[in-house]
Amino acid sequence: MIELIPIVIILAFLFETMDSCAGMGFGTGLTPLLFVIGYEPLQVVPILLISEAITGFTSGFFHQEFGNAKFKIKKPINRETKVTLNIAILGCFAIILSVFLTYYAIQVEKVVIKTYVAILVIIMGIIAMIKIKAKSNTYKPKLLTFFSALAGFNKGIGAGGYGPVVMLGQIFSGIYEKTATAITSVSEGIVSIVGVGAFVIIPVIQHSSILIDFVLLPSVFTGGFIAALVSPYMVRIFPNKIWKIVIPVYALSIGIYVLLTLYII
Amino acid sequence: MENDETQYDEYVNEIGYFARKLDTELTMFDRMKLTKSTLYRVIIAVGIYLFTMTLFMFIL
Repeated sequence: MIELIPIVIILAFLFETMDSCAGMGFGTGLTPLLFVIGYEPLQVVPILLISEAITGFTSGFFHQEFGNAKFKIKKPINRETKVTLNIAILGCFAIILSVFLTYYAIQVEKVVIKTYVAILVIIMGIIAMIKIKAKSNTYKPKLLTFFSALAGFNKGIGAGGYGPVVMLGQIFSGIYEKTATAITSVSEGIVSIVGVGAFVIIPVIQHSSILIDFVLLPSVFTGGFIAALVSPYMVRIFPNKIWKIVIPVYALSIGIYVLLTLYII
Repeated sequence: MENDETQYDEYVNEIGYFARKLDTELTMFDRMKLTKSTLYRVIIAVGIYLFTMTLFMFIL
């Protein structure tokens, strides 16, 4: 019999709602909270990846349905699809590297790199807040590639913060906020699938085994799935000027929250 | 036909074209309205959720 844990459902719903609305926070926000509740990394990390893979695509599908973005799989693919694939490919390389580092127990000073990402996200959030009233939204592909690579690098060294950097990077590169959330959801879905694959394949290559505890999966999946249906609709309804404020403020909060979990909580 | 293709290419290559169009052409109230096809897709998604949960019951 599967076990549904109400507090986990509520937390997954809240963080996935914000993740699908503002493009960030599901992994960065939910992971430390589940650790605080008492769950172990192998009960949390793979489960969040599996859930994010499913909800990323669900959310992306409904973002498309509600007109926040239009993805096109058939040729000629459009720019929205190209941007999604570019971000996702860099993210895929990064997550494979990240899982390798975890398995081979290569010690990277977690506190230092997580502090760096938190400060980076705070600075990006502040710049985005300053630029709220800026009219210019010319698409800058080179800048977007830079931010995608930076986000990938951060994820690769295990520092997290992939969503905030990719999301704010898109905004700095001139992508419409509503569309940027949709692009982030789909690319996170692709990256998470590769992450799940890496979790399964790497132990096979190493001839070792890993015990993943699935106790949280039904609850995280339930909360996340409901949010993946609701959030794209919210993004559609509320005007873009609301998201222009919500996204940087939320990014700033995420950055501060990470610093708090590192040094105070 | 040629004209249609030109128009198609124009919007295909502009990021956020549809979202901007919805924001400028529809009011917030209009954006709340859902079409029947969207409702059907939501129902299908709920069906997929229930199927997945049933699957979890057998696998986990």
